[in-house]
Amino acid sequence: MYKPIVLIFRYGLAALLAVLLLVPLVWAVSGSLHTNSGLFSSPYQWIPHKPQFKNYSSAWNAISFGRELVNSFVVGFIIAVVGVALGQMAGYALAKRRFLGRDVIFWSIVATLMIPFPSIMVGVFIIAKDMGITNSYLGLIVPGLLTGQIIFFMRQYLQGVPDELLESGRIDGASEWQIYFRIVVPLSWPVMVSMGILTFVGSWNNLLWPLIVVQTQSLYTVPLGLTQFSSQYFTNYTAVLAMSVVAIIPVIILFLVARRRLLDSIMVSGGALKG
Amino acid sequence: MPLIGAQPSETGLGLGVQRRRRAGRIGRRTGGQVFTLALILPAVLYFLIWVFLPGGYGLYLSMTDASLISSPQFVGLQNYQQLLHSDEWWQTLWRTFEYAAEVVVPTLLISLVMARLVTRCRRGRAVLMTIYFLPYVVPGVVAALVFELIFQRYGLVNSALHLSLAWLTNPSIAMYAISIATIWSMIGYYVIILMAGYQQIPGELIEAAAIDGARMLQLIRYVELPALRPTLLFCTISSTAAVMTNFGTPYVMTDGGPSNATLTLPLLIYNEAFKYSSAGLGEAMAMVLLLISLLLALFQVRVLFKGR
Repeated sequence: MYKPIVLIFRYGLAALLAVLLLVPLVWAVSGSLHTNSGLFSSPYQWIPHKPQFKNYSSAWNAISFGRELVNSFVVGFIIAVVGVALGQMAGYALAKRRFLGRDVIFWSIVATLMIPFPSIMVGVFIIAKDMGITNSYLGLIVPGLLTGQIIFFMRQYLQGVPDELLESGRIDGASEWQIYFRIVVPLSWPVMVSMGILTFVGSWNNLLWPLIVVQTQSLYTVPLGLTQFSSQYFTNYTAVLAMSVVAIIPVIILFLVARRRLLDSIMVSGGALKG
Repeated sequence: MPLIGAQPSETGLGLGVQRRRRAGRIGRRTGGQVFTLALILPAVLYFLIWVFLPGGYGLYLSMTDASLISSPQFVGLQNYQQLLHSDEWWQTLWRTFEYAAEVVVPTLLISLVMARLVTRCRRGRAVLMTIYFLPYVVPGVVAALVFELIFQRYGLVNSALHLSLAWLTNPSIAMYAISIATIWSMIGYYVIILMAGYQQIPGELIEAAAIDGARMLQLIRYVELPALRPTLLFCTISSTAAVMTNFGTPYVMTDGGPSNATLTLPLLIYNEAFKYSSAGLGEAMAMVLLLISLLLALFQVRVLFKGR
């Protein structure tokens, strides 16, 4: 039906755009194996003559990058697990339970989606300070635990669960807790996993809040550590690149593993929002 | 014949069983309320403490001379008056809108092309989607650092295009470099959303247009764009909000420099509150940012629910 020239043009353009998008990433990997002068040679050598693998070890030793990776993992993991658990609970209540003020609570939570963090960050910092949790793991974790997004998604999803399913559990004499743990949680599992991954990635990539709340170097997360390192040793370009490559790896692995599910849930969110 | 106990939904229950069920249901109802409360309370408390309280407290602080160290004194609308008369403030506000426009327009155009290509490339669709979305999961700090290096005087961009521009130290072009990095970081998300929009266009519509002999441009102009209108509006507003509140890219690449050429609103708020410790003035700025975001959101809600 289509002329071959149309197909060639279409796939050619698609491939060109893909290559353009990949250039910065490929360059980062290639540059992390260059010497500092090789990085800015012209024309650029995409495959370095002598790959400098020692860039990785020297960058690793220059600052406590291992510690930062662990910090980011711990913070991201706790935020993802607790946030998704709390979000799923609230999502179930908003989707399937009747109670006073349900609509007010739901719309207030939707409204929080519209509030950008920079517009409330000073207040958040002061509250954290009054609680005495600044410059601590609690300070890194607690203020970012939950997002309206998780609740919105979970509610949206659980609304699709037929009431008869829950009712049949009640008729069989199960308590609400049993229904929740035996029916609702297993049903929510796939969405919880993809929400968990999105939340982890969000936390892993977050710079602004750690920058505000943490001063001690042993509490640095990866983005904060990278920023501080590059502002001190920016001229050590290849070390900056080596650490950047390491910082990307976990999120890329997570993305590739859960690719289908993540993209589907984003497509659904666009569709759901748009109606 | 099943046992009655196993099938209570069957008719022919004894009176005693029915009474027990009713009692059980009443007990369950109060138990059910405790259960509901246990489900919703953590989330409600969380948002009260970490979103609404800081918001309200911020509004109060914006009318004080707070400094994060000393106790705040009420000064009324003085901070807002100071903003009205501050050239730096108006320039920053304008620059933030400029940044949004420089990112949003190309992002939407390119992601529209990409979404169309992905939809039409049957083979290799999964690979294309993966590559197009990939930059979106890359940490913003990493993207900013890589682009900062790419835009150096002897970096990849200049050497590939045979230029020798001082991208990040020339005030008249620094914002372009930051915009390009931002576009790269966020484009994947909009490709996916627009793809979802494309998939909702009925196939018959496109076939009918093809039978009528519509050329590609006509197809796009008269069939696809009208059908994508709501999705495009959603993308426009949400990307505008995302860019205006983006902190990481300008902070890492230039920290607002050279000579404030890339100083946007989130950076200014951060500097004011945490560097110069004038939290009151910073909060007044933050409240303006909040107001802009809420107006955008209101507009978005109107768009979403129009025609429902």
